Amino acid sequence: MDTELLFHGLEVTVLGLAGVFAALIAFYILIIVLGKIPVENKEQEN
Amino acid sequence: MVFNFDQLIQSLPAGTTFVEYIIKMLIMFAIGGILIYLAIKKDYEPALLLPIGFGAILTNIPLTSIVSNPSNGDTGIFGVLYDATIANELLPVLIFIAVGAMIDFGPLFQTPSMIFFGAAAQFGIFATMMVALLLGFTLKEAGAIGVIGAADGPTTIFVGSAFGLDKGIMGPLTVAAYSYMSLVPIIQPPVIKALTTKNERLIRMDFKQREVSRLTRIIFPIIVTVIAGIIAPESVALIGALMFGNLIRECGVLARLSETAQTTLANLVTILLGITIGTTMTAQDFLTKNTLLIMLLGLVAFIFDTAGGVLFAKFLNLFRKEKINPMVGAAGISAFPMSARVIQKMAKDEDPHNFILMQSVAANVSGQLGSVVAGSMILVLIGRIVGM
Repeated sequence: MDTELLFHGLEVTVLGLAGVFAALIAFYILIIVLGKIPVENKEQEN
Repeated sequence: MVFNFDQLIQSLPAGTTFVEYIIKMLIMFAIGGILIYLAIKKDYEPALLLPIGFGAILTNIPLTSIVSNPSNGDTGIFGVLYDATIANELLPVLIFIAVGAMIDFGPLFQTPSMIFFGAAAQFGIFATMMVALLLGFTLKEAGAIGVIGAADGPTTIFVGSAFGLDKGIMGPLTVAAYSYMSLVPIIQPPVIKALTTKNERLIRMDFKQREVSRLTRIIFPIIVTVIAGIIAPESVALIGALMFGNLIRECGVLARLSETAQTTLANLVTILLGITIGTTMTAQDFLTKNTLLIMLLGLVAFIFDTAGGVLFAKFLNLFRKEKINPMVGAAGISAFPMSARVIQKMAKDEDPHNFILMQSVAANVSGQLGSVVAGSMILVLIGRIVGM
């Protein structure tokens, strides 16, 4: 087994998972913020 | 042109005897037949497995020139289609417009915390990539194999195509991704049961229904595309297509386009994708040790992803007053809406009055986002390492 390749794999794993969590944390904040936009009366009637 | 036996003998791959050739051809016919059987009889992703199965039969007919002409090497019609629609990642991107038009992010706005399962359930992608590396696959191949675990066929094809993997890898990759997507009801329940107690599976979760404004639904896909693009620029094609489809759905003024994306576009792309991928399954490329390994690794990836979501839910429960039913974590994969349905069915089997469908759907749509971001991270990170 190529040790360098394994280290590259670990690098991709750690940074990849960090990237996925970072993106979804950003989406979470976005959802919380956008969720505060009130529903207009017209929309409720529809 | 009539069948020419001499030409067949001349076109045999180097080192292959006539008998070996015929046996391999019959095995591929059988594999094509099994895929068609699973599609028709078992209803496993029929829209994809049937065209793939038929394509596998087509491409293994002796002396056929549908992919390339055996006598002069000219590209055949399905070879042209492959180069024009899959090798350049066109079809995976188009199918994401259709998927985006089908997704309702409403449940995610009701239960925002479910979004984290869309991240946790991507664990299997990276774990499987490591296993594939240990088995001798290259970094690019291992990355693409890992993506199978996200239960996201288009992203798997997109990553494989972007890495320029050859057809010998792309065929098994696609078959594995779509086969396992259709096997969610069989693969996920035993993994979930093995990792949870009955009491955990009985946990009920509150769900407060509230309206989501139209403005919110319109702004969401736009900002998500921008955020994802900043974090992983390679994700823009996929997530942009997904969110474009969703914007068409939610804007309220493009009902006809939304309908077209959900039906006509999805159907057309699915037909072309299935049959074109099927025609890459030549005996020479498909009947290899790598195919078997890729199929096995795809299963491992799927199991790891399911386990990642469930174990993350159990971990969160250590700190939460209001407990999460850990089965919901397993819905963080991308197979939408199948996984959410499976989780609800399991909850109902344990307690007929337990309703966790909305939370599962929220985790499931998060899985769509998570798998695209994970696939893009693999593209970015591996691309940098190998100097793409």
